[in-house]
Amino acid sequence: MGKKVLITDDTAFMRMTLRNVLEKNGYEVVAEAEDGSQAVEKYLLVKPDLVTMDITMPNMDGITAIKKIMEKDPEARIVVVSAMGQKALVIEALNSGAKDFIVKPFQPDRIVEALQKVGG
Amino acid sequence: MEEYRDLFLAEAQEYLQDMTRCLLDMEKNSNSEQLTEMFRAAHSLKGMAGTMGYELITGLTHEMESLLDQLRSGKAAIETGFVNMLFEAVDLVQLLVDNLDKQEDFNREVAIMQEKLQGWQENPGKEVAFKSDTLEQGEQLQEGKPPVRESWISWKEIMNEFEKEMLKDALSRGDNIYHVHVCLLHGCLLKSVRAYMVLKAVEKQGEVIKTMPPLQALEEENFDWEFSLLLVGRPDMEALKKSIESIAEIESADILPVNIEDKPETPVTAPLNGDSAAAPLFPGKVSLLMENEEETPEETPRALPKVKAPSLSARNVEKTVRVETAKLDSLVNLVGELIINRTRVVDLGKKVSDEMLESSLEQLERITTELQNAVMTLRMVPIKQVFDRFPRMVRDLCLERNKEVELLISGEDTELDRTIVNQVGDPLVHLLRNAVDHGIEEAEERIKNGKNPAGKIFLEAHHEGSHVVVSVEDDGRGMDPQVIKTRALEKKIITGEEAEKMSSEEALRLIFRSGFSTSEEVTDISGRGVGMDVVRTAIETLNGTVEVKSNSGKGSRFILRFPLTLAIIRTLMVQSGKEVYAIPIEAIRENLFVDPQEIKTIRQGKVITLREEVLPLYSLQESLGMGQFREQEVYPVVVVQTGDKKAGLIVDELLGQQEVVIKSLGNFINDIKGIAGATVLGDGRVTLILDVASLLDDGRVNLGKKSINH
Repeated sequence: MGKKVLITDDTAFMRMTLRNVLEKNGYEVVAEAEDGSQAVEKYLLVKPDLVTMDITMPNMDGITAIKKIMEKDPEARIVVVSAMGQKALVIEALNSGAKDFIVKPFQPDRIVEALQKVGG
Repeated sequence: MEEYRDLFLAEAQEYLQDMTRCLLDMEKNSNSEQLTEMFRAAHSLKGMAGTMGYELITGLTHEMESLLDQLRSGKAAIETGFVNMLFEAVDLVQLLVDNLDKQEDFNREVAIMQEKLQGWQENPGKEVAFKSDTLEQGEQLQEGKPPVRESWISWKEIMNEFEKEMLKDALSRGDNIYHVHVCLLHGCLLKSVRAYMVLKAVEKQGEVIKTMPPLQALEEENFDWEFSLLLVGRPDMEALKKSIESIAEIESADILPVNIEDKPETPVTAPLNGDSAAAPLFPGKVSLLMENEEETPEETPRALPKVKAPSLSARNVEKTVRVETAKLDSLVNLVGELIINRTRVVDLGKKVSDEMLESSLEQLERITTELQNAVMTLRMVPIKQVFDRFPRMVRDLCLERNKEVELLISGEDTELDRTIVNQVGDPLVHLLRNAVDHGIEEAEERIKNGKNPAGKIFLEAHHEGSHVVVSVEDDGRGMDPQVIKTRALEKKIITGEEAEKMSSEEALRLIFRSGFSTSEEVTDISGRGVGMDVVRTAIETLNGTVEVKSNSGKGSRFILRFPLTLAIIRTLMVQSGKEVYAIPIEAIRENLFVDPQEIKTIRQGKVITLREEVLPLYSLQESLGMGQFREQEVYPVVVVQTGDKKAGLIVDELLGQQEVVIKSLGNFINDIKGIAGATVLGDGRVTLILDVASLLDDGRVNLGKKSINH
């Protein structure tokens, strides 16, 4: 079975796109989160191998979520999937413990490459 | 960015000249050294332009580089068509460099040229072989993308003193230097953050001294898909490579140990003239490769420098400092003032007549004189700067005229004041053009006369006392004084009577008279004289002289003499009314004492007959509007000449010769006709320096202008 992935994004469209790409490439999408707090919650529940994390989301943003997850599990492998023009936020996310990032709109192979490099 | 730009401009010119020189050599006798050197120049230029973000130059030089690289490794014949194309490319780069601010105007030209260059690369008829044996072994030549081999040379060019210090410190700690080249996947977004991640990864293993392009450009995403870092430390190269390549959208990372040749306080000992195989022209690269294969991290970099030659640019950086010319000028000015004040102090000291004061004043005098000489040499630049563009010019001219001419240059290291260097170019261009156009005969004619079908032009410079002598000599058809005389008669420049008395030397000098010839007219006569009066005037404004010698049928020689500097001139001090004026010696032909009875009046102007020549006389005081002409028992007259114009200036008294430092009159009273500047005398008085050329030119002064040319 492929690596287990948790997808975090507030738009259903992006969650679907990511799910399709990842499943096509042998990943198992074990959960989807619509905001930061859901992501933290589900991470602890399903213990995925990899997390994709949007930054701008309602309730709890991605950076706070990254920090919380890293607190609970310093080994977490999180890849930020951010919109364009969020340079400062991306850097903050990386400094908060995200392993890598990819910019939306992404080419399918790029997100796969990123996840592979991060450890899957 | 501005200061980088100046440096870029200066260095780009050097590389362009290098390329031109290589191409010229290549045409004569192609060998791999020129290709390598030219490749290196194109490569360095590409690196610099890339750093500066000049995309057109980068693209163009990249194509040139790739083409040269192919040639270097293959056996493609180098023919004139090919060299011409490269010349065109060099010209285009020059154009871009000259127009940095509006490069986009040349988009089309660059695109066409790039296509042309690519066309040659792809031409199957050329039998271009990649990775042949002649290519240095171990080199990775990746087709289709820029090769990974930014060498130490390029780093060195962009490093500042501080960064060099950091390097030295690192080396003394026993650290090694690495060149890290990173390629991003094409189309990746937020490149700056990628670069940031790479930097973070690299900094875990050492210290990043510099990046190419600079950090700011990385942050602003002013780069394509690759960048380089200069790293010091003792990293595990494999692990570092892996850690960089494990970042998303990083295509590749290459880490090469760098070896630098100039250690602090270690003289360059590399054998430049030694075994050419061991000292190739592209040392940076070769050393990179050697170390890449064999060097172990423990090996100190100190052990290696001996095996390779220093690159040209490496040596230049070491020995020279680029200084803004304005700073130099102000230094020269200050020293000028110091000298003037010294003279005053010394004068005062003499009045006091104290022994101790006298000896310390002598000391002061000696030191300031030395200081002055030293400062003057700072302004000196080799005449090479001017000479360097001539081979190309002559070559083009020859192609155009379908002549074969060899230009032989010597003494190009002769130094002279940079203000003069900038201005000797034009008259020399004139003389060289004339030599090719009119001096050197057609090949058939030369063969008929028993000469080598290829003509020769010698361009030579040397020092002679406080002057620089430049001569332009050709072995062409020469000039016939008789033909020149006839021509001058036709043009009514001289009278029949004058013509008869004229010696051949004097006849030759006629070519410098204004109105002697224009380009349409010369071609059918003796062959010379295109704007020769222009040449002469240009040289005289530099306080120089020109002389011509010719041997009909064997060739002509033009000898130009320039003072070493324009900042200090020798003058004759004259008294006129209450004022003292300084007249530059170069403009003075002779001094006379004229009896009032010899003076005649022609058309309201005063003249005398001097050796059967009518010489107009002006009162200096009147000419400058400083008062009325005064009757005297005998008139001291200074005969001055500029171009064809000669006149006598009546003064009150001749005071003697003196060297003076020219001071500008400042912006408010600049540009006064007849006055070139001012100087301060030892006693503190300000004296005006006459500008003879404008004095004789000025309508107001020059009342008898028409009578001069009679």
